[in-house]
Amino acid sequence: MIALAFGLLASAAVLIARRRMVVHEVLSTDVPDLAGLLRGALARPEAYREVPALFSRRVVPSLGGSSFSLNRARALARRGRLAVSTISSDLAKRVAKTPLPVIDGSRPEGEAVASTLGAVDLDRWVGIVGGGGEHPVTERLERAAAMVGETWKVVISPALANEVVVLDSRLTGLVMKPGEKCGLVVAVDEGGVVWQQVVHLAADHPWAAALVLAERVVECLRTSPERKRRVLSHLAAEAVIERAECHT
Amino acid sequence: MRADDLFTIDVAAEVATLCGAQLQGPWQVPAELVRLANARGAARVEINRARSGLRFRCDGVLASREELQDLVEIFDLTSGQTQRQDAINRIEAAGLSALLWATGLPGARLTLFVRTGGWSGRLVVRGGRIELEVNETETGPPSTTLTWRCRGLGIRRAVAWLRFALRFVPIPVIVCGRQVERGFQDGLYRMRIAEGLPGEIAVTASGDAPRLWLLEHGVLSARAVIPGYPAFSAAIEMSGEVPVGSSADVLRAAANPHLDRLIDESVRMLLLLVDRLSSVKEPVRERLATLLLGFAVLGIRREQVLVSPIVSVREGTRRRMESPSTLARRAVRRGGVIAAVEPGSGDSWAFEGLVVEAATEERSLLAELLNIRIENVGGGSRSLELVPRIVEGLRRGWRATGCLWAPRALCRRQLTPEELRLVEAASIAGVELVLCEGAGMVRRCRSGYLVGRDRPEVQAAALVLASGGEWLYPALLAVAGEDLDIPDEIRNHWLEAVTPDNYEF
Repeated sequence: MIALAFGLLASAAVLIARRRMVVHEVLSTDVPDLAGLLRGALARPEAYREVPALFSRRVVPSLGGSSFSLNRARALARRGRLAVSTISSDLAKRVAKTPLPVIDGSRPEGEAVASTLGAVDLDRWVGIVGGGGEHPVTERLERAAAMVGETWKVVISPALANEVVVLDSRLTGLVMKPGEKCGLVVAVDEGGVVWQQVVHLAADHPWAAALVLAERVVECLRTSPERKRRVLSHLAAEAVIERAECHT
Repeated sequence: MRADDLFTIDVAAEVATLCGAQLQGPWQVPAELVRLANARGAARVEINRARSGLRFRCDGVLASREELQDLVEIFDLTSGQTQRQDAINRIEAAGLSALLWATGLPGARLTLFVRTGGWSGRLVVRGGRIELEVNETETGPPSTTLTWRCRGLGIRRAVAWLRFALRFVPIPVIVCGRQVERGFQDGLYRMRIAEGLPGEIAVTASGDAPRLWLLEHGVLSARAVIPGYPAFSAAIEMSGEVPVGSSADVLRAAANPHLDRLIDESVRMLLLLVDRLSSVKEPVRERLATLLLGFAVLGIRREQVLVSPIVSVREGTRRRMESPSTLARRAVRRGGVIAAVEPGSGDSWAFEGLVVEAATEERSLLAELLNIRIENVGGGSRSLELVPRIVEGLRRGWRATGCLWAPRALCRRQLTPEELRLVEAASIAGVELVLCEGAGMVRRCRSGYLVGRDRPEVQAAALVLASGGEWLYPALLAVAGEDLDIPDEIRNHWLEAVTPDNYEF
């Protein structure tokens, strides 16, 4: 029995060592354009089906030095859980301590995979949440969401690429500061048309402004229409009452 | 001693060798007979199962009287070797190899009946013996009937090959009672080409490299793949380009000078389809757009692809098609970044901002072509949200049954003018509101939504609508919004009304 157990242990050790050696070989080989190869494999997986190892081997560099496979990266990206960091921010380190890997964006291969699969840029979200401002309208929106059981964090951020950007995945909780609970982070572009309209309207009609903003935000949510309307109807009721008071 | 007597030929061995060199097995012979029939002008071919073999019929004449006599001479042991060899050469030169194989393959049993104006011929092969009867008085339309079997003929395999190899034969071919399907499998669109090599080009729903079907007299002779280009399929007729009986390598070499034109024609066909992209299903649009972008990345008709509206974008609730060059200009204004979501995901992560709906391959090609960064702004999948669904179901059930003990609905004459206006405005929007006394929760009843008139939002909505219809959207949302599916036009009307340029308080 003891001999058998030793034999099994030895076999397992050899297999593990062999696997690690192969992985190391793939990673350390000076392939001229591994990033291009990965980009091509992700863009045209059919063309690379004869090279299944490319998808199963650990070729995507992550923070902390370890790597993971393209298959895992694709699965994470489909669920919005693929993250990338270039500067190893605190947030990135925090996420890297969880079972979710963070692509090392400073490596060309990591950058290729992250940009092709559209990974969540943690460095960017650190800037958005850390440098984001608040406004009475955003607070109203957060309160309306809270009334129907949603925890939203709405921030006004300078120089966003889009009018409204939403982070709605398991990464959301990690983006927030420790102790802050949040199911959804909404960033609104401070210089965007939407926010300018909201600010203009908020001067006299803050609830109507909150409803306008909510309209833009719920368009971005992957949730049932009923739940969206529950958030909106509360704000609409306040906006209509506010409007009626103006008339009287 | 004559020279003929110095060498002998084993005709059976030679036929088997010729067949083995040009075909993969006897199961390909029936397709070769169809090729011969098409070459000889038949307008219809029918092939059915016969006793352990196949019966072939067509309305053309597969062999002339002289050619039948040549066939007999090949297998006539009393003929001189030179004559027999000459007969083989003549039969091959005439493109009658299919009949040679059908006659001479090991174990062949053949009955061939040929009829045409003025004569008919009956060729019978049994146990290695061959007999030909010619009737000079026969009349009737041209036709050929052939019953054939040989050792190693797999009927099922032969039928499968017929259905595969005859997809581009220009005449109807019926195999075992069913006409052979035409065109490429998975074909989406196809276009005939007449210049250069005649044939057709198609775009298929799958495949990752261009595939060529090289035909002779409409029947598949060889296939080829062109690596390094986006996928398309082409079936081209080679019978005028190569000698009869050419090998697959010769066929491929003959097609080689035409590849550039075929590739260009395939891109031209894709560009002709651009106008349809907005109305086709998303997988088809994605396929066509991806192929076009792939060609553009390689520099083939790049300028035309750049200005073609092939990319599906969404701005707010509106979807439309945009050209890659327009996207590039937008990206420049946004620091070289464009947002994207998976097609059909239901995500729309920007309102005024534009979102590209594209899968990974299309995004990657766009990024490469336009030198921009495409950012995935799609969200993560949510859990099944079972508990909220159950709660929602209970809420709906409560609302549906609540009307059983709800207050009585008010009739129109009991409503104030403002309340009446609210009910009428809602009705115009397709929402039936029924007011009742009290401030209870909204209930669903047979005639619509039962709403208490004393609820503050109902009173406010009635008041707001008294001064105009722009606020119908928030009014309906406030009154019964959790249950209503309010049309987009009403929503957009309100959003326009509250833009800084339009609203007045």
